[in-house]
Amino acid sequence: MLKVINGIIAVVAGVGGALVLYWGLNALVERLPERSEERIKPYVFIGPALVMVTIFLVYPAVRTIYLAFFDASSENFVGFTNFVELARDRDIRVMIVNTLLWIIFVPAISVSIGLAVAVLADKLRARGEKLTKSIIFLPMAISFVGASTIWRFVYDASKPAGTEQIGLLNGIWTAFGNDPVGWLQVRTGSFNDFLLMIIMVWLQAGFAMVLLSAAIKNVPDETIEAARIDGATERQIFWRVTVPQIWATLTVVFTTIVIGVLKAFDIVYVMTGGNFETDVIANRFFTELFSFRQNGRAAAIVVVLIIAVIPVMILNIRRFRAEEAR
Amino acid sequence: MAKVEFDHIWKRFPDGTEAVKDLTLQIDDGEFVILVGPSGCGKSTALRMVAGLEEISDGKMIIGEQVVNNMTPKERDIAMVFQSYALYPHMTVGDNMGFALKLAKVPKDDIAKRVKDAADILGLTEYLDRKPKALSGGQRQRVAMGRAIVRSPQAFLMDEPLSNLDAKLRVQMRAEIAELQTRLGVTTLYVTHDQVEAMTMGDRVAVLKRGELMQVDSPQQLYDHPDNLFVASFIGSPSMNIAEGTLEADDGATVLKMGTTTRLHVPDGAIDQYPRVRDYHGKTVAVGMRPEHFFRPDGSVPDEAKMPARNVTLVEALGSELIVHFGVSAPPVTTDDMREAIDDADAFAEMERAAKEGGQVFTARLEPGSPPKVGDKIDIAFKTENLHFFDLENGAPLR
Repeated sequence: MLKVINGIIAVVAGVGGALVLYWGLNALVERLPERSEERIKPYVFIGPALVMVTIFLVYPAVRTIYLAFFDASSENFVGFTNFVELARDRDIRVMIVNTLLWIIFVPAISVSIGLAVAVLADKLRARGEKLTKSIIFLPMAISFVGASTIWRFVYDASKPAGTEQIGLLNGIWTAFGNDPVGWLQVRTGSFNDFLLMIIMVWLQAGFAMVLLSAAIKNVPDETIEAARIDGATERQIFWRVTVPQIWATLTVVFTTIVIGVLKAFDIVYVMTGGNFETDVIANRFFTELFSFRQNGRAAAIVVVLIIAVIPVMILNIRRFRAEEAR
Repeated sequence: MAKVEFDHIWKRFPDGTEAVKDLTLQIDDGEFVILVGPSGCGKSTALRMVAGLEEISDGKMIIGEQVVNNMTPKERDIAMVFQSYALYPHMTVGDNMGFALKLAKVPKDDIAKRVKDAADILGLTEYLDRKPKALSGGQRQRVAMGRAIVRSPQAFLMDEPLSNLDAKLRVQMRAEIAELQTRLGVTTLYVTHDQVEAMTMGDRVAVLKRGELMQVDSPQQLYDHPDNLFVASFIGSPSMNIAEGTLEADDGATVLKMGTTTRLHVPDGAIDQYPRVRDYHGKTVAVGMRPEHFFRPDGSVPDEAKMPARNVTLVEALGSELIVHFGVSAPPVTTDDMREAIDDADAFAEMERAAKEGGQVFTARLEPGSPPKVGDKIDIAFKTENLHFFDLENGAPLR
């Protein structure tokens, strides 16, 4: 009960405080002569936001980069030692390979499924389309941790052979007369990595579908009909007329999911904790910092992550601008 | 090139609407036929059935000697120009025009040559490497035409291709398309709701009303000898004045009474055109009067061709001619034919209101010079041999 009251107070005070701040600043500016008022007013409204972003985003980023050159306790300058160690560590190499696998497969599969559903649902009648899209979209409303918990049950291997299996996968597997398998520990061919990726795909396919579906609906029917008359098969229409016209959206969705993948921590943390060679970059940095108290190494990992995201961000922003300019 | 034939074609949509009803129409090899009618008359649906974009509910569609009902658009080998042009936005002008040939696996050199030839004809040569986005409306329209002509198809289908252009460009493209069609000699079916396009471009015009073919004829024939009240009032701009009138026998001659004051003598010339007028003595009919058949009478005009002292409500001086609107007491015809032909719910409601009050406004196309002012009373005469008569109930001509 107390928590609820605290929450309410926080919301009221937070929102009210912001209102009072803006109102007060505005009142102050309006007392100025008209010319200076016109000039200063924009900054009054952008200012607080800029200050917040600087304190909570820019400063930590700079600070992190700074700390990446210090030791575990953040006291002694060690130069590039953290980065060199990272490069030498076998676990880190596994982690990087895993992260690459995630980057290659999760966006590609999510976008493919999203695109397939968007195209196929577009051919359904209105009600069928809505239903299909809602079902595919639903997982998006679930948090990563929640989704992971659900999938833990799917992959569950806690019951010994001969007893009833509570895991869906083992339920099916044992129904064919096999012994239950600890799926998340199967490292062969990065099998367990892909089991984790499925969760991310399950969560992101809906996002891809919604955006791509909107883009497909924006493709003029006449261009499709014109292609049909020009003698294109349905497949040719899709690849040569539809896809090029939604290319901008495809890129945005793809890069957004790539960034999501680079930040994926929850799934790995909940499912395996990064064990059995399933570690990825975001989880690794978390364990370095909070489990091993290796401030320097953790910061170095984050710097690697930031550098990795930059090209994707640039691509995304360019695409977005191109989209806006049209 | 080939003929296109509608053989008792029907289109029924799943919700039960019949968009095209028992349409039979033959477009000869190399002929330019216009499909015209008010919105919702099924003209676009008919065109799309030729293209293969719309399924045929009943009847036979024949292109060349083949029944094409179950053929894909590709197999029908036709080209279509869309109202929105439907250019592929991600392709250059050249690629847009060559797309069909590329899909048909025509050798690259051949495609390049045919695209270039088409571009030369249409004046697009310097734009071949541009994207449609960078073109003006008129240029895009030309690209759409180019996409059709590079293919040398069996037939051209055009769905209101000029309606997105401004008035001046439309006049220019109208002439260009007509000229191009004559030069290439490709069978063409052209859909429009524009009077002028219908009258000026085609060899023949097919007029549709609610999915039914009302008349198909050369433009002049259609204009001079409409087969029914709908065609009479739909074709022509400004449109034909139509009012209720009563026919009476007067000493062996026929007299037309309209409203409270007008008595016109129906001359033999008009009765030759509409011989059944004699059977309608004593009955009320729909009378049609084209605006250009009105004139300002001089002293030599007999009274039985005059509508004296009309009240002028609007004057449009166009320089070459004078459009004068004037009030008459004869009530307008408010049958279903008229509702369809006017194709404007508000205008029709206004007409029904006028009908209750027993009067309406006529339009006359007069020689320029000394225009009357609004509010003036003027004498107006009519070339009575050009009167049109239709049955009031079913809109049939009194031929």
